[in-house]
Amino acid sequence: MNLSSTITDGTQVISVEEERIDAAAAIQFKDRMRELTQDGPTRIVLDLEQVDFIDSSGLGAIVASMKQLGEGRKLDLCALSPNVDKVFRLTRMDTIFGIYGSVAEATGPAS
Amino acid sequence: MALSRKQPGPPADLLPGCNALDTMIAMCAPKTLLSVSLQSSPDAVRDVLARVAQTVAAAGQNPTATNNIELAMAEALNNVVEHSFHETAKGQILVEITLDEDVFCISIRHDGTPMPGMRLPEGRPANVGVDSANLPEGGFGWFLIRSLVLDAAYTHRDNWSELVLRFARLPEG
Repeated sequence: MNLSSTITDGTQVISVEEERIDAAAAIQFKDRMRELTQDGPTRIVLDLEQVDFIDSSGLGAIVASMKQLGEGRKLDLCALSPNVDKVFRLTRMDTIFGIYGSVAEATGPAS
Repeated sequence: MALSRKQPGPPADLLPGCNALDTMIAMCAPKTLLSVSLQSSPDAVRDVLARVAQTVAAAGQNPTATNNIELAMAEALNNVVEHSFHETAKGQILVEITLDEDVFCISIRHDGTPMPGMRLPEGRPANVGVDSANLPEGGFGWFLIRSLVLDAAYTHRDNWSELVLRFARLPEG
């Protein structure tokens, strides 16, 4: 599970460099997220641009990644493909996360 | 080559009761598009999902509807790996896709632990109206499946479970 991390203007952007977050990848994803977010900025943006498929195990791993951040820290999402967006909408998890169109939109100045 | 639909037990003509599954099978013309066996592991599920998506796309399913089938099949197969074979790779799962004129009929068969109560879960939506510390990390599977299929049927006979999911064929445009 390849994830890359950069910090821009106090926000940590983690890009998923995989096409799938599925049952075969969920545990690795959660573990890598824990490593990358052990300390650092209070706000994290998960960039899902390269992800074309997610199942409920992958969704659960993203929720777990948010929960393991602990209080006072926040996980937002950006660049959801239609297939990924569908899973968040059907399960109503789109109401839980801040969702942005792109990394630029997620990290840009608040309008 | 193609898996036989015949299951252990009395031949179908001795079972005139015609249950819902038989009706469903009868509704699906026997045009088999894919018939595969896989090991009960997440990696094998991933491989077979690629073949399922490829198969329905080649039969004219548009990309969005192809993803719907792949997603429902992912949830159904992950459940079998997790709950019927308890995350050991020792089970064999049989997947068969047939196409009627405009309906894909997908059968998943295995001899692992059957569904609790011998019936399909209701598939209620998970409750997301809670503190983030208490948000559910699972339990979405059957809700997603029911959101994506035309219908779903389950039978358990002679130690074999069969789940049949049906999807409308939705070509481009």
